[in-house]
Amino acid sequence: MATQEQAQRLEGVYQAYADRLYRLSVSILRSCSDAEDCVADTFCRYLEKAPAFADGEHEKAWLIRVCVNCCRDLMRRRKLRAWLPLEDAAELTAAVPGTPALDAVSKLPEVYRCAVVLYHLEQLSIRETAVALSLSESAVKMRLSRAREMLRAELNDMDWR
Amino acid sequence: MPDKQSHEAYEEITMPVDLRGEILRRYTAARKARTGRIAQLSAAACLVLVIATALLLLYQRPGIYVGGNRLTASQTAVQTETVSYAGSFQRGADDAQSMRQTQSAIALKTGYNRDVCITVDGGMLLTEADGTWQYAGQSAALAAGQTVFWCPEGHGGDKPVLCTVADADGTLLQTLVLRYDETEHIYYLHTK
Repeated sequence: MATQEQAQRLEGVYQAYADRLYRLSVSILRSCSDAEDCVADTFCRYLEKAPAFADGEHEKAWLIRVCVNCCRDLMRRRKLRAWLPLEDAAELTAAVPGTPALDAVSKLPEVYRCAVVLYHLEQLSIRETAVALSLSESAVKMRLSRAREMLRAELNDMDWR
Repeated sequence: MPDKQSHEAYEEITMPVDLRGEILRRYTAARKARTGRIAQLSAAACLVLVIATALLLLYQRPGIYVGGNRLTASQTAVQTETVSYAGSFQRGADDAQSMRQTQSAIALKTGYNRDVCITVDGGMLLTEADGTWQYAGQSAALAAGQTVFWCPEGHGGDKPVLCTVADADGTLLQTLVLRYDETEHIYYLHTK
């Protein structure tokens, strides 16, 4: 059984980051139920590993990175065990609230989508995004640049810088 | 940057359900599963260890070991023969008779001349003209024209020792395995 200490540890971090991680997961996975699963897995790993953090920023970076990895794992499993008909998948996607810009982001390929969500929507710095995605800063910049090109083409005149 | 409306829409996305109970349940289940896996792995490791030990013992039992090293398959394909009652190899006239018996038997079995010389703890027992034995070095034995049974590790109790047989010129003639049984005072000669 989970101890009282672990429940208390979860309480604080859950209050602080649950919504943020959920938003991130929904944006990457385009599915509310998968995002819930991913957030639960992230906090579960947090309890299992019980890492020692230098400060709040370190903790935030760790959680985002684990969450992104969980999302990627889930997407990989989806590829291997995809059995939902396309119509159902479309319904799941439709369940995510959005705007034309967010819809366009959700249509980006996964590698670009993660970078855009972390940098533009979660407003992490280039360096933080690079850490979360295990990439170099120049690779992140390149992905963002390409993603913006795709978004401009999709949204015509929207200003993505 | 995305438009303000998109940002607001993004910020409005919130967790629809409280997952804390689910997270603690998953964590407990994962911990139980891990404990179970550790127990299974430990049991498997113990089983492997037991099997490996048993195989090692079975493999070791029929082997012949020289200086702690197991002889190769061709070396172990030997025939064990009781050569003779030998007594203990001690310097002195008391052992001369048994020594000579052993020597004769070995010479007979191996086909080398009767005046063989067998080492004791690196030294040599040299046959004198009157049939007695003398503690001497290998070079003295060779100089005396005797065939040398050179056991560099000594007889070493029950452990077999590798003996090289050399002629008077010091040329290597044969390698033999000789094991001395201290309880029975018998030399076992292993020949191919």
